[in-house]
Amino acid sequence: MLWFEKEILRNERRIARIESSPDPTKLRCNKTFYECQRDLRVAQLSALRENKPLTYYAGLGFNPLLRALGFEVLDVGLITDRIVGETDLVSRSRDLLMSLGLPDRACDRTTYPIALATLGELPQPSCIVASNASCQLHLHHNLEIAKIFNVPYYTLDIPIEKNAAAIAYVADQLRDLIAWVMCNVPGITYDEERLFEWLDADRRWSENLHQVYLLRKKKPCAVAARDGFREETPASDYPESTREKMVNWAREYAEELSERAEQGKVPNEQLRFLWCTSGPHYHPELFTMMERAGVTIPSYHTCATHGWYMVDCAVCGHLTQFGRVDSPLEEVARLAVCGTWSGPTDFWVSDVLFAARDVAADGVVYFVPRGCPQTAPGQRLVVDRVRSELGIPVWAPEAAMIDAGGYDPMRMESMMSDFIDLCLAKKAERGAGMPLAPAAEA
Amino acid sequence: MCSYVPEEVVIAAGVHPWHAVGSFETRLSKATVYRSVNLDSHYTGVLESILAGELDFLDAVICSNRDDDQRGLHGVVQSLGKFRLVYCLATPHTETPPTLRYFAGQIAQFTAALESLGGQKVTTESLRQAIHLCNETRRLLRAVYELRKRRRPTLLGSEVLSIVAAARVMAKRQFNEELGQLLPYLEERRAPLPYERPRCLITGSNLDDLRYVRLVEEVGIVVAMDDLDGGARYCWADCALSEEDIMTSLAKRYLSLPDDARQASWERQLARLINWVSEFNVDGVIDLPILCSFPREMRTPFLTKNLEEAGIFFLRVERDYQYAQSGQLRNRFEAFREMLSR
Repeated sequence: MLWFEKEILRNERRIARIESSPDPTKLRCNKTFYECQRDLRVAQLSALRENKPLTYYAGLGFNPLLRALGFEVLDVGLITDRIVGETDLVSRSRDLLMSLGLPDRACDRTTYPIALATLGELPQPSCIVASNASCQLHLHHNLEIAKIFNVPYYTLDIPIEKNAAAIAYVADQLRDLIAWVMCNVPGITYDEERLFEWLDADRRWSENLHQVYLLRKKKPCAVAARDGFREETPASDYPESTREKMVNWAREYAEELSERAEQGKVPNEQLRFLWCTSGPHYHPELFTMMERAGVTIPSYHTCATHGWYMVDCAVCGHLTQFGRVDSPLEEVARLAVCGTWSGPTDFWVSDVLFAARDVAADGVVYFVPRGCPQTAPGQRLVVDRVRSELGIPVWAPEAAMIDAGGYDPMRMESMMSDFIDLCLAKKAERGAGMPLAPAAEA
Repeated sequence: MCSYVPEEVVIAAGVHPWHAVGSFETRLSKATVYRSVNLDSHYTGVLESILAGELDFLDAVICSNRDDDQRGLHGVVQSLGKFRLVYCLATPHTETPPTLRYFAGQIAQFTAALESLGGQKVTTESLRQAIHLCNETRRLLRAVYELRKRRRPTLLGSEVLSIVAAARVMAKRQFNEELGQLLPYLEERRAPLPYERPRCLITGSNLDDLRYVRLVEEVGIVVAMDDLDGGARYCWADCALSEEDIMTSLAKRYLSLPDDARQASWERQLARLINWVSEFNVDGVIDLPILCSFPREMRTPFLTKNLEEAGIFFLRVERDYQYAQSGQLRNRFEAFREMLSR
């Protein structure tokens, strides 16, 4: 409970700071974002106090269904990201993980939630839905959490194929899941109309984010590095009371970028980086340094968003990139299937190439979360193909996302500085204004 | 590459299945260009073998996606362009009616890919014959495992695993014939064991370098049973042919076979382990996970807690895929033997 209260206060402080003395270099719409974050924690705290059905994040794409079923959904991954500032909690979590025999070299975003659950920092869920839509370790950490809390769990399997057969397969499992949840969790009912409302909200959010994406792609990018490194969260990540506010945040974001471009209030862009996968959340100074050097981040490519808003694909009731009109349940399946985290390596690599071309990147930072079996194997292929096909430098640092133990910030900043110099030199060689090859559909 | 790839289909397509073992070298200079040190060293070892040309005799590499790391290895191997076919079989992480249906379809697709490779059509009859052949292999291996239940086993644990290793690379017909002829001898044999207790069960995955098992035996522990994909898990379940579609029969066999930590069925894995401890009269369990085999390591708190509650002594020692640090391991095994002997 205490964590939620602290988060509510933290976001309220941020909101108050923006209202009293806004930083002109940061986005105004950040205020709306923090309000949504605050409201999310208020709703989660309220759900806990009122003993409402609660479950944990099940993987990419499933929130609309979980919310339509009546669950409050705990975004455990993002909550874990937030503990970076609490060094005592990180340290206790690390020690606990070692004593439990959990891997100390695995992705900390998947292992630290287990520590938090064991330490009593996370609330008891009603049930767990585990999937490999985000990655296999996410599936396993959800299984472990189900065991810790001794609650029923259901496992969803996301295939590597990205086609209509895969959508049908996942939709088949979702029908099974709905029946299972209604048997195992009191008070849960399924209403397809509610699911449609959630998907519709995500569609409108996605359309607005697509506009943001198009605006961020312009030269110069209107978003500085610090604001560029933010994981966008769909409307279905938020409670019903905040849903429309998050849709509107995306619209405000697009309007503000458009306004900035018109007024010339854009960073003094020297370089454009595609930043991939994730990053060291405990080192915001790295992005400040990038900003000072004139680096913008036209796209923070989490490799989940291609099928969501990067390409102009309408969702739910319209023709999608697989050439079909999906029912609401099939749309949930599509959102889970189209994420690259569960896909084959060549799909992953092609996705990064597409993004780098599409935003006319001068360099790619391919961050490898330490011990990530998804990003690490593809690292070499990404580096080789970006260099050979796009002719731009790639930097692939490997580090933990949550735990700063063993991390050397000065060394990291020094390497970033070298990378910036390299990109500037390569850009000069290419000649200012020479476009990359046009982006083909990935 | 993976024990979830149906050997029956490979055989029916006129292709010889070969379990690819990774390099046992401790320096993997070629593979580490592609792979971080924070990844499963088994797959790094396999990539090293591939890059060194040791597996050039293969026509195809077949992986599965039950493991993100293995799927990543598939991508790298595919990019090398060395083999006629590099395939990743979509293997569900759980066994439910939808996943069974899907997996049956995936096996059918895999069959078509193999037909192109082997140039041989896979018919229902050829599949049935292949299933009978593989079931016979499993039956013979289980007969060997029965001998391990004896107070004084007739084979060392490392010897049994060598026999299973042979089954995974030899032509099945030849293997069945040779093991069938060997069995009567094995039934009467006395294993070179100066002791009868304590007895242990070794669990893990991809324990291809049997020096680890021999080390356990050297310190005086009888390796009475194993829970390994290159051991009991390979042969414990047959493919039951029934009236249903043959692809469904195969899907059922492979999704219900004794699975490892990569699958989501942790309770089933635990129940099987406890059952084997009892059936094989085992005093303790030794878990030998490969360093950075993260799905397996994620299961550790669950396994440790439940084995403790079941009153089963448990030792967990992380290791490299390649045999290393034998001195430290020997100390750990000796201490465990002392504990079991009390």
